[in-house]
Amino acid sequence: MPFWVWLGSIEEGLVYGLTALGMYITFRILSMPDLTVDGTFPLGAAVAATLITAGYPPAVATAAAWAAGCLGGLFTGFLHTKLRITGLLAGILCMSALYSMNLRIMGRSNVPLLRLPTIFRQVEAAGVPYDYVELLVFGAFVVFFIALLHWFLRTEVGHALRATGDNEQMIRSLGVSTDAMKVLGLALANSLVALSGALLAQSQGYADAGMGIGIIVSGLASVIIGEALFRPRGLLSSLIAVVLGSIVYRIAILVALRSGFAPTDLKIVTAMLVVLALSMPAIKDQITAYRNKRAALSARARGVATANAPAAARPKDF
Amino acid sequence: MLRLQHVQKTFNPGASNEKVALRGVSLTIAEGEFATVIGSNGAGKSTLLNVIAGTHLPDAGSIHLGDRDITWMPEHRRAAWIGRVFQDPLLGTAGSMTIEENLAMAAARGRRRRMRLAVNQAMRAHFRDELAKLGLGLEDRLDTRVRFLSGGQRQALALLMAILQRPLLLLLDEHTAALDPRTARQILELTERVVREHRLTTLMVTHNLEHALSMGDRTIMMHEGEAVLDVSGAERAAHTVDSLLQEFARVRGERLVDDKILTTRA
Repeated sequence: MPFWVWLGSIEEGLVYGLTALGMYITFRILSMPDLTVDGTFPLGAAVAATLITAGYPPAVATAAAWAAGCLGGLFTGFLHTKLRITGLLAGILCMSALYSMNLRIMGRSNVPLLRLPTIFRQVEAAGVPYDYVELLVFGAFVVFFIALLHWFLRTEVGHALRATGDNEQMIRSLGVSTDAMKVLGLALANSLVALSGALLAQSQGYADAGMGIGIIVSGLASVIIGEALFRPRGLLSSLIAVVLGSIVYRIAILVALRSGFAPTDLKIVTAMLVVLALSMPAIKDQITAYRNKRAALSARARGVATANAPAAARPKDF
Repeated sequence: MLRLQHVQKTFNPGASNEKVALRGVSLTIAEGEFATVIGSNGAGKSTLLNVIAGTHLPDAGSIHLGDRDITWMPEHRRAAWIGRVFQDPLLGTAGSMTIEENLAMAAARGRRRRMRLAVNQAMRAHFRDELAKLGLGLEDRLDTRVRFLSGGQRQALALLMAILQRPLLLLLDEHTAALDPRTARQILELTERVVREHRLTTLMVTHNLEHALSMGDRTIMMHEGEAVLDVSGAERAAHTVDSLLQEFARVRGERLVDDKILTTRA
């Protein structure tokens, strides 16, 4: 495959990497999978495209998209913490409401950005070679947000956020409102997701109401692939692994397409991938139990006392 | 320091599984006093601690800490003054975070959390000193994630976190019940030491009658949501585990008689 094909996947991996970072915050740090993202991703695209079409500078439009994502997360957080709707359902409700909202914002299902200024055209005008504009812009955003998150998660507020996902009772007994932390985490996560959507819309030249479908699963896949492949230990390496996971995921899709899968098959391939990755601990446990049972039975058949037979170590829960 | 007046709490009121956990408990703990709380399962000991800490709000009555009315204050706000160690060692610490990160969260107790790095060199040195006092060697493992510690180590850390900011009130909820006997003894000795050293007002729930009498300076026995025995000083010194058990049997007997009278009248 020519280099530019790979480059395209790397660029995609970077821009969706922002979504993956957002989902890492909810899924891993808050331990609360958030489904709002299927709505906030196109929300970011819709807000950015609509504002650019209306003549606002791309930077303003992108910032507004980021803020809109924040609001989306706030809304899910409100449903979850104040109205006590389960996290999953709150996300689904918000996502569903956002679908209508996005169509309202755009006024139709698709807003093209042809011949309109975007962040990318501006960077190109500043003298960056056309071929590397997207790589540079996406890369800069990713590096900036990894650095920002790495700093934030080590601040006092960041600690409180992480502890909320780890041990709610404990951090409440240390004086933190876990409700506030959940809302903050959801807002932060969805702001990244919307930003991701806003950048993608500008790079591909249109915003579409349907562009959020499947973002949850691809985002989760990125987080899981990153963790499985790179086995990060620290905070910074986890954040980097998530983005690398996103790149690997996009390359895997590229390879799948090249090897004959129809684009419409991708969702089921991704879903299977995520199922496989998420079920690994359970499958390992079952294999271990099966082996222990077999060993015990065969030992008994041979007349060996089994009381002291070492059981194969169970994999750790975490 | 701590004053409870006619505190009532009923779980699932009106439902078939209605449970009266506290039926009008009034209790005053003086500043610097170390009281132990005993009672059988379902006596209301944990609920008592939970309404004081704010995990549950009472149905009626009032709770004052110092001169503040904290009856209806949310848990995370009153946490500024209340340190707490739970029975489950996993509950008192965040396993995915390091020892120093856990201590930094405890150091921020009661303050508004800010957007600045939570740990700095000065704090690290302070944490190292405090950990060294535990005598568990944890001072050299500041970067270790707490999930890699043993239950006893986690509980010692939880205790240190509870007292790091010198709370007005320390609540210990059977905090050694889940530990092996040797570790439990270590944690109890540690508890005794830090409570005395900082003259902390303390309420310790325990299942162990011996500890209830030997530790602290006051013992409260709860039964069916009421404080049925409250002894200190010479009266307490005269008690033994056996006399406590007798007392307990007597109280329970009276209660049964009461209930019978009520049912026959009704």
